[in-house]
Amino acid sequence: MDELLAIEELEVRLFDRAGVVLAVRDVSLSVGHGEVVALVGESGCGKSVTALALLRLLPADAVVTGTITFQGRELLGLPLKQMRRIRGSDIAMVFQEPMTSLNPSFTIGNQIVEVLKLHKGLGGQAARTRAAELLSLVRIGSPEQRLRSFPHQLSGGMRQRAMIAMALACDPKLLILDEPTTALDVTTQAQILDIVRDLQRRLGLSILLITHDLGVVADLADRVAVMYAGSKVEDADVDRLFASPRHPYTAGLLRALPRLGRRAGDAQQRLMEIPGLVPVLRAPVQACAFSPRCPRSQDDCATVTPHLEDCEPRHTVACFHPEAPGVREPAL
Amino acid sequence: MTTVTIPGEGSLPSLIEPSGRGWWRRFSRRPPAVIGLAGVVIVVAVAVFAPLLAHYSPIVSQFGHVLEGPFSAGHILGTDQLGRDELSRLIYGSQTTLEVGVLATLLAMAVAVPIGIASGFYRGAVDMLAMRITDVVLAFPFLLIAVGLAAIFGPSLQNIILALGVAQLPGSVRIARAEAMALREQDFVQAAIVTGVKERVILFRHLFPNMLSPLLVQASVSIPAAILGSALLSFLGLGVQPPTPSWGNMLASAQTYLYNDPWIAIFPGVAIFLTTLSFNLLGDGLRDLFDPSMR
Amino acid sequence: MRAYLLRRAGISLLTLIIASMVVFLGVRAVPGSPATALTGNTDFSQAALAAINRAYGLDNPLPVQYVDWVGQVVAGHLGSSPVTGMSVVTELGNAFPITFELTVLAMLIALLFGIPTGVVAAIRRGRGADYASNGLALFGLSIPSFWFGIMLILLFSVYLKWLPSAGFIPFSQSPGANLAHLVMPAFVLGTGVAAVLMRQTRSGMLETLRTDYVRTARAKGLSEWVVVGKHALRNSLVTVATVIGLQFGILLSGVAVTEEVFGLPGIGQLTINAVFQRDYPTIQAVALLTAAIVILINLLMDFVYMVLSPRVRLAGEL
Repeated sequence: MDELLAIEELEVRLFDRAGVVLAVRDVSLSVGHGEVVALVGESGCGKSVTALALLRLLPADAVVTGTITFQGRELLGLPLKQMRRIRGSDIAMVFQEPMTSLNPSFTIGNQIVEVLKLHKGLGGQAARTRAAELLSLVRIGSPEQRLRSFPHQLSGGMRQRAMIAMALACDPKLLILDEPTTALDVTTQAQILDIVRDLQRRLGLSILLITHDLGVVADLADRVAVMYAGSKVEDADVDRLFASPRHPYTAGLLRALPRLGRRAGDAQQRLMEIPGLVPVLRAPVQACAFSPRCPRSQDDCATVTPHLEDCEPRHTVACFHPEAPGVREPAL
Repeated sequence: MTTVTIPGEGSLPSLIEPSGRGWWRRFSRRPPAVIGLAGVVIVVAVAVFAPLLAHYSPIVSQFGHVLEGPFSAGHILGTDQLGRDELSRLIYGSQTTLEVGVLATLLAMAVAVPIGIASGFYRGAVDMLAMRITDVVLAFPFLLIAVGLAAIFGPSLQNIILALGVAQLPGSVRIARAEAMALREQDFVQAAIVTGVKERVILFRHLFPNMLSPLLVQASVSIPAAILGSALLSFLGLGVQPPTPSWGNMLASAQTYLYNDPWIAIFPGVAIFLTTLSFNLLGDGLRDLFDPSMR
Repeated sequence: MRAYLLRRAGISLLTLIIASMVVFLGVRAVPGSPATALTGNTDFSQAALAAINRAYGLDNPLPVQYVDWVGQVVAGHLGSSPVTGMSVVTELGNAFPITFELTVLAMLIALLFGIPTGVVAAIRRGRGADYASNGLALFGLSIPSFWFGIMLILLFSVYLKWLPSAGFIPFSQSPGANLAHLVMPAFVLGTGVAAVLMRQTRSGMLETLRTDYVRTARAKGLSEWVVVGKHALRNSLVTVATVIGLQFGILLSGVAVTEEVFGLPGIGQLTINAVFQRDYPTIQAVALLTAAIVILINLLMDFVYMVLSPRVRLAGEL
């Protein structure tokens, strides 16, 4: 297999107070070596669940079926002991909320050294030196001193950078970034994206980027997979997706993006929102989940589930009535 | 003068009611909670209907029937060292136990809640003062407080209740204070303050009703603590005096006969244990009922 | 850090002072003249009464008496018991080691049983171990300690004859006998506190196990032992420490009655005897000592809280 990561027909059933939730339905995805793949969708579409399923971090009662192949190994059937060897070393994850994702009782240094000790067998001074190196890699000043800082002593942006440093500590093959900038203000976002872009280029990282922010996607991604209500509805190279979105949902998302440079009197002055809410599926349906909200839906959309099909080379879409191949403004 | 409608006035956030309909269903879903409730009801009924339930007098000695074991003729639980029917004494003993436990807790909460609310709402000097008082109370084990009150005012049931009430103060003050501090920051209270609603109104109509559930839980935890405390004090001789039975003093006098007639030492303890257990189970059930994460 | 500790120490001192005033006034509030209280006699001739009043400084205004008394206490003069004739300091000195050992053993038992059980209950939430632990905790919370003691005596001393039911042998004399006399009372005392600790640990752990940083710890590939034992437990212990401080005062009431049941000549028994014999100098000393110990323990817990909580340690402010 050429791909670093291949997810095939992944299905995840979660359980809440009201019963079962079909969080992920038949999702297939791949990440190549050195590739940045963005997984995009609104809150609740199942993108984070997909990532957590990858690392087997879902609650114990979750039901996960499908195949996840990483470097030729099947992950879902792996005993947890071996999974733990992969976590943090081959696959590393950075979470959304840096304040709560770092243990407030331990120093940054302690938490980075912890993972170096575990996977690389580094101890004492060697570990601390490497940890300081990692902090400077993410552009944190005075790294030796910063090792002794506690999370609450750092700003939000610095915490997120520390998380990234911690994730990179053991030279992971795959880096998963779950909404890495959502909790940060715009200026800090830009800094973080800058660092990530730089690191990706330098280290040749493969990244699975989970976000609802199309701006971030435009900035970092090579390929984009769009998810809705637990399934993938479109998959394309980033340029093609922005230039020619085929799925009405994707098109809707792009139309809702505010753009700099619009002048009064331009045709699309108002931000167009997609009316309605993302549904939570509890039972399999034979229909397109988006059809109730879709401006292009017709009768057949409510009776049969569309499957992903090629509409162009390297561009799949799951829709019976996709948008016309577009000539749109490129992403800003 | 224009009338302003305060958001939240008349439609208080439903923290009072355990989330409306179905609360009994949710409560009864947990057997221990129902058992606890049943236990409490039984004990209360026994205490209230004691004269009807007890066949013998709890204080009249019958020297012909001393220390008969359980299941002897006419005495299911046997008799004590003065020939008195054990079961009847247990039944009457429940009155003292419940009276002290409930009154002490009610007294404590009646005093503690206003202090706690004022402390949490006004902060500053009031808070400092309240916290220091609480600290001082906490520094003295309730036994010492009871001893002190008995020494100064003479031993009596009222003093036991007072001592236990004082001992329960810190717990309720802390809860009321914490709730008041949290509620104060909420929007509906802020709105009330800003629009000039009188403080007393805010405290009574906005803060207090929203604390009822944590306070109810606190009460269900306080009462068993007070019961155990009152039993302890009775055991040491600081409660009602013999011949009036209390479960504590029954245990105290039973100690001498432990080697040959252990039953009179076993039954009062079981009674205390079951009563306290029932209140604790009820308290757990109430806590789960009001816990948002269990909804 | 220093600012936090100083502030807490200052508050503790203030509390202690107020407590001492309460003790002082309490003894003075007892009906009958203070002379009676202090000497145990009720018949005084005028001259004798005057002499006693002068000797004890009872003629002076209350604030002066208070200051004198504080001075004496600090200097170690706690008076003598009108009942036994011994100096109160000696009495306390004899009784304290027994109570101290009992309390330490009880707390050890409570910590060793309560915290791990709480952790297990949290990890195995909703399963057998959780219900069993909770059942045990309910038992410990609901059982009257003195009755529990009596039942244990019934079982282990009367029927099985394994353990002695009363008395105390110093550790220096015979470690085995010492422990044999203390194991039941320590267990009885420790059970109540263990129950509270178990619940507190469980609820604290349930909360920490749900946090994002525990998820991060797992995502790093750390073993479940490390995740629970290092990352989760550390943050749960904070609430546990506060609870220990609160429980201590309740524990001391239990100490008195436990010593009574098991015939241990410690501070508890000393107090109870003093109460029934109207031995006010002893009661006064014990009350002050108890308050001081409870306040000290709480200050200690504040320190522990500071150690466990970096935010407090560094910011110096709570």
